[in-house]
This record gives sequence, structure tokens and C-alpha cells, in this order.
Amino acid sequence: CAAPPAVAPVDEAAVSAGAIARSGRFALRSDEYSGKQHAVQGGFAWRDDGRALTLDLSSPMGAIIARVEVAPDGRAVLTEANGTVTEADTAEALVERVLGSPFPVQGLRYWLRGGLAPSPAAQVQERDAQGRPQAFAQAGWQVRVTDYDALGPVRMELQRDEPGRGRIQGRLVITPPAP
Amino acid sequence: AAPADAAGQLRAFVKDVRSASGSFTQVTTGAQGAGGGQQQAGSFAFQRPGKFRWAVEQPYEQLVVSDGQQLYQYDPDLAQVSVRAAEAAIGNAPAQVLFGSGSIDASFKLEPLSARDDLAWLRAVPLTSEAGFSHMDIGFADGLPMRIELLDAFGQTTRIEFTTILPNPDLPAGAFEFAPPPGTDVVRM
Repeated sequence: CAAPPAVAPVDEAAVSAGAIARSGRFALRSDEYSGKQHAVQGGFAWRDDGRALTLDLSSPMGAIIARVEVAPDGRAVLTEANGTVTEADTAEALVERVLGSPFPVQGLRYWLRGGLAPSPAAQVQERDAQGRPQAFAQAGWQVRVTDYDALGPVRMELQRDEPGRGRIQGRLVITPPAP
Repeated sequence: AAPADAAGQLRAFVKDVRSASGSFTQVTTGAQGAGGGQQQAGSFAFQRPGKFRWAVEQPYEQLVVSDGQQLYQYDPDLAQVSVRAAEAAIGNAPAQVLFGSGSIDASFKLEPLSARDDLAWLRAVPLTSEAGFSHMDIGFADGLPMRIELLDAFGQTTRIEFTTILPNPDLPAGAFEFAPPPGTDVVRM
């Protein structure tokens, strides 16, 4: 069979050192086995300088409803629009509090750059012509990237099955920068 | 004579202008946050009580429609529509204040501001911190809202300009109905 496409080298140091700023919209949906449905839609702004991360979640009107700040050591602080401040060891736990369903913050720090997190090991199922991951599973999430630009994915679908709880599906669309 | 102060114009607008349609531009700027200063544009319409439509059309599409009973929030790129009871607060304060018919004084304190850019201004301050923003300034001219400046809780300002606003237009049938296109995820909340 044909040799697999040349894999674009993902230089971990470059990936983590470089700053990335992306904004767009997300939709999260959880379907619990109990039949309960829950959905969240909104805008997000993602600013990661490789050490600290700031994730803003905003309402359709553009007003920020919650801000998650992740320090280089991983500790996360959530500030909600009503002034409530909460801290936790991981961003995942905090964002789940705001959105009501899990959200792979740590994984996204790599996925949004077109890379994969160093751990846990990822299973890459498909790569695009440039060797970038197009379908892969990591940290319990099945991820499909349907569109890339020079910086990384611009359209992603994520899915996670939580045994005994239900299925979470997410879609992210990056808004193209102003021309 | 028509009220000159903004609060008077707002109350007259809510009482007398039963429906309107028009277009808007919207930009969020300020302390580095979502949106990053990119301008959106779209169209709106409302019919009291309870029906309104807020459609962002550029640079992406996003639609919020209330038919009076249900509130639909639809994003074609994300192929998802969430359906809630119409009263559910969806973080769209401008629509709630300008297009609704519930009493404004139940949720906001209105403070007069000095005139600016040929508009009469008021500041609507939410009575609870659950509203999710600090305040919303609304500028009026000739009894119609022209501009909104909404300051969120993180120091960002969303500026909305009503580029056109046509009171009591003849609205197309189904202007406030929403039928999800095939393949759309419909999530009832």
C-alpha cells in the first residue's frame, strides 16, 4: 500500500513556546442516558502563550460570562460574570462547572495548534495531506478536524462517551481573522 | 411633545412602537477578550409582546428567534439549535429591554446620562449581578434607539449601532418562526 503521507514534524518545544490566540464559537451538547438533554452555545476567546492560558466564554451578545485562567503549573481560576471566583487543580474541573459538561481544555492546548498532547497516548486514525491529524482519539475524546488554516484547526468536532452517564458532543468553529 | 430625556423616550418606545425591523452592526472591544474587536453585522425585527428576531449575518451567521413561546438559538456553522422557554434569559439584554414588553423597572434601574453624539442617553443598571454585565447605555434620537454600549463584567464593551430602524413595518408571515434545516441538532432545554 502507499506509504503514509510524510508527517509534518510537530516540534513540541515550538508548539508549547509559541503563543496562539483564537476566537470562535462553540456548541456543546450532552445527552444523558436518563434522556436529559443539555446544550450550551456561545463564543470563546482562547489565548495561550505556551505557559499561561486564558479562556473567555461569551454570550451571543459578546459579553464575557466566564473567564478561566490556567497558570503554568496547571492550577486554574474561574471568574464568573456575577463576580464568583473559584479555584481548582485543573481547568477541566472548572470549565465543567460553567458549561455543565466536560471540556478537554488541556488537550485543546495542543489540538488547537494542530498537534497532539504528549500524554496520554493518542490514536491517530487519519491525517490530512500535510500529515496533520484529522481524526484521532485522546484522553477519552474522539476528535475530528474538518478544516485547517496555517495556524491549526478551524473546525473541530469532539465526542466523548461517559460510561453510565451519556454522550457529550462538541463543535468548535474558529472565526476567521478580520481580512 | 415627544419626551426629550432618554428614559422618557424608552418608555414611549416600549409603549407605542409595537413592532419594528432594521439592521445593526456590533463590535466587542476592550480589555483583551472574546471578539477581539471584529465587527459583526445583521438584521433584527420584533413584535410586542414577546416576538423578536436577532440575526448576525456577517462574518458568520447566528440567529436568535423568539416566537413568544419558545426561544431558538441557532448557529448554522455548528448545526445546532437550542430551544428554551421564551422567558429564559439568554444574555441578550438589548432584546430584553427594547423588544420585550415586561416592565423594565423590574430588572433595571435607569439613570440619565449627558447627551453625546446628538443622542439622548440613559444607563440601564441590572438590579441583580446575575444579569452577567455591568450596565448598558442606550442612545436615543427622535424616540428611537440608535446605539447601545454594553459593558460586561470583564471590562469589555459591546457597541451596537442600529444602522436602520423602521417602526411598524409590514413583517413577512413567519418572521418569528424557526424551522431547523435538515441535519440540525435540535436540543430542547
